[in-house]
Amino acid sequence: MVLGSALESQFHDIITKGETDNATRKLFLSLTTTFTSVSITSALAWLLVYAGFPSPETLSVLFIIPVLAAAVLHGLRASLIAVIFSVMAYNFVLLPPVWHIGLWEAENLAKSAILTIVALVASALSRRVRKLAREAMQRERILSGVYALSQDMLGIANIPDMRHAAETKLSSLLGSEVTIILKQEKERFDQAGRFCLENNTPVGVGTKHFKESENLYLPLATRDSVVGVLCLVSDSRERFSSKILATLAAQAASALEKARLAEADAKKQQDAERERFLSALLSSVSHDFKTPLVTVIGAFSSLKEMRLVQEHSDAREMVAGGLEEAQKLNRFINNLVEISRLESGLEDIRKEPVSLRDILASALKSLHPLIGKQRFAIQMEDGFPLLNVNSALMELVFLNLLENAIKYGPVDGEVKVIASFNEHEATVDIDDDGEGIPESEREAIFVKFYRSKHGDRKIAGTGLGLYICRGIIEAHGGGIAAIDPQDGKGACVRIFLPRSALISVDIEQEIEEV
Amino acid sequence: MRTMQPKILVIEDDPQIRKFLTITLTSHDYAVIPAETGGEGIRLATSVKPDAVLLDLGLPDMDGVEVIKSVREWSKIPIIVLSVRGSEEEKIKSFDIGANDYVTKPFGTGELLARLRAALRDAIVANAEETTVTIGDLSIDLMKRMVTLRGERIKLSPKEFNLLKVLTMNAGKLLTHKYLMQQVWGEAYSDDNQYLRIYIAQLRQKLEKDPARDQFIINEPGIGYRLEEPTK
Repeated sequence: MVLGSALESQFHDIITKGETDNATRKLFLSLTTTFTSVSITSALAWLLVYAGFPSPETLSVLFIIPVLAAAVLHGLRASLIAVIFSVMAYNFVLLPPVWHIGLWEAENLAKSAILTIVALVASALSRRVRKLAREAMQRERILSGVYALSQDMLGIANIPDMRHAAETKLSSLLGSEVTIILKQEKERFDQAGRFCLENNTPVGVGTKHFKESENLYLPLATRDSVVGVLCLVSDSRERFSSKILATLAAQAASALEKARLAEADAKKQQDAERERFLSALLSSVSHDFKTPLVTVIGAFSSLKEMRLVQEHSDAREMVAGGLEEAQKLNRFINNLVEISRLESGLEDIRKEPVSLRDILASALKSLHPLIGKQRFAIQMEDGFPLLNVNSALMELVFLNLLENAIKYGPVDGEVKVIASFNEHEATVDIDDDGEGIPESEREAIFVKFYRSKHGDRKIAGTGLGLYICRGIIEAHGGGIAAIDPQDGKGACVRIFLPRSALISVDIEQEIEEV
Repeated sequence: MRTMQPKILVIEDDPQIRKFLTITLTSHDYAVIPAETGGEGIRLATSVKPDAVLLDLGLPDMDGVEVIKSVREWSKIPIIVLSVRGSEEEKIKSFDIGANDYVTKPFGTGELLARLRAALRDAIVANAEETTVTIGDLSIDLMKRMVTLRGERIKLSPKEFNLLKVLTMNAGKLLTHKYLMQQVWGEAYSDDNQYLRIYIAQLRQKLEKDPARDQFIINEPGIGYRLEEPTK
């Protein structure tokens, strides 16, 4: 409880207000009971004397009872009143001449003094006992409160519920309204609260800062950070030591922190669960989509070759369109499958040495049906290394990038693939002659399901292509970005591959013989 | 000498795919023997003795790889595997066990028929060295070691030419990395295919002037290369 004592030194007990009306009632009560008890004692003494008690003087001892009772039950003031009542009653009822007050005899004075001392000692003792008892009860209550708080928080795994539980519990425990403001709820803080949060120190009534405030602010501090502020409206009739308050604040802080961790944990688990579900769904969907596609693509490609279709221009066009769409669907499913695989993170990427030329050739072959009058140029720096990558995934990257270049470039445009390298990395640019990508969107286009807002929106797309490209490239330790095209027109996407994804092969230079 | 239609055993569990394969192959003068399961396929392979087998790897009763094993115990008939994308390892495994070629689903009929033709042609190309082979716009004179693309002479290094020659003599067929290394570099290099990839890249640089149209060399990841006439 290092924290507790640190806080304790910073502010005094909390002085609570609003006790006056209650005190008057108490005084009245103590007067009446004292008067009654003295009267009963006097009556008893008188009865004994009347019955023939041998030495009435000794009956003065009886008056210790009301004085003690007043001291124990009502404190010093009441016991002194009891002394006065008792001395008067004793003189009046028991000492001759009876029914006459004779205070000034020596014996009387001595008895009065003894009664006064008894009153003083007994009331002091009983006050002390009462105080101890009260403190013990408070401690007991706080302890069971803290216990209940920690019991309550066991089952709670989210912040709103935990906050509510802590507020209710602490309010009833401290007998005044308790509000918890979390660090992130910036708009709920007033100046004092913010000061408390930022300086990790108690603020408000009874402290060194913002003394004029009606409230008391306690920082909700865990070991590493302040998670919020506990605000206590100081209308409580009870005073609590700073130590208890600090303990309660620390308890609430750790409960909230625990709830936050539980919440984060639950979210992570939920995310993982969803990812797994999605992945399973996608792979089964992809299989169920692909099987019919085998027939669809097969049938269309068969039809395309048939003389019946070739001789009929409408039929030819319809078949070609159907085939193209089916192949597009196939590419889309391939993207989905790879996304689900990459995102599930379950599969290791199997790498092998492959040449960029092979990858580009495969990608271009798959895109063959889409290619019209576009021209393609592959410019590779001499000695460009082999890539140490997963060739199927890398093919998918270039398939998507080249498909974009074809889709967004002009029908007779040129698509350039420029590959160069240095000792640290290799870069591959895919450059088209289309409208280009505005600077403001160059980051966003790699976001899942993002579709460019400018340009020709009639171009069909899913917003998955570039997202999967980034996923695959990053899985290989590289990067991908839309950059300023070097030829000043169209779009240019650059892929970076680190040294670890490259393999240099030394081959002896041969003389060309034929 | 083939006087009859070649018999093709189609082992595929999906009825629609089976039907489409049957129609397509029949219309191209093949006799189709359909089988739904691996067991039925193996039985028919022994009793009918087909000229080639089209085999789906995902069968309901057994792994397609088991079918290859079983057929290879007694026969060398060409087996073409129909596989889905993403199952590269399975594909490579089936190739190691004795499959001759494969087609990735979904496929166009042109591609399937080309594979089938190449598989059935098997023994025919043996004497090709005396001829000039034409593949699309590419013409390779194996005797004079002369290569032209659209009439224009292409200069190749000795290794590049040897590599192209091996591919040409087996045009349409899938050749493994190992086989190509052995043929061009000799036995000692058969396990290191990095040279091969570099040389293939160099060949592409020279032969595939227009990368979108001159697609002569087809890469089959994890397995090998084939030389093929580009799709029009």
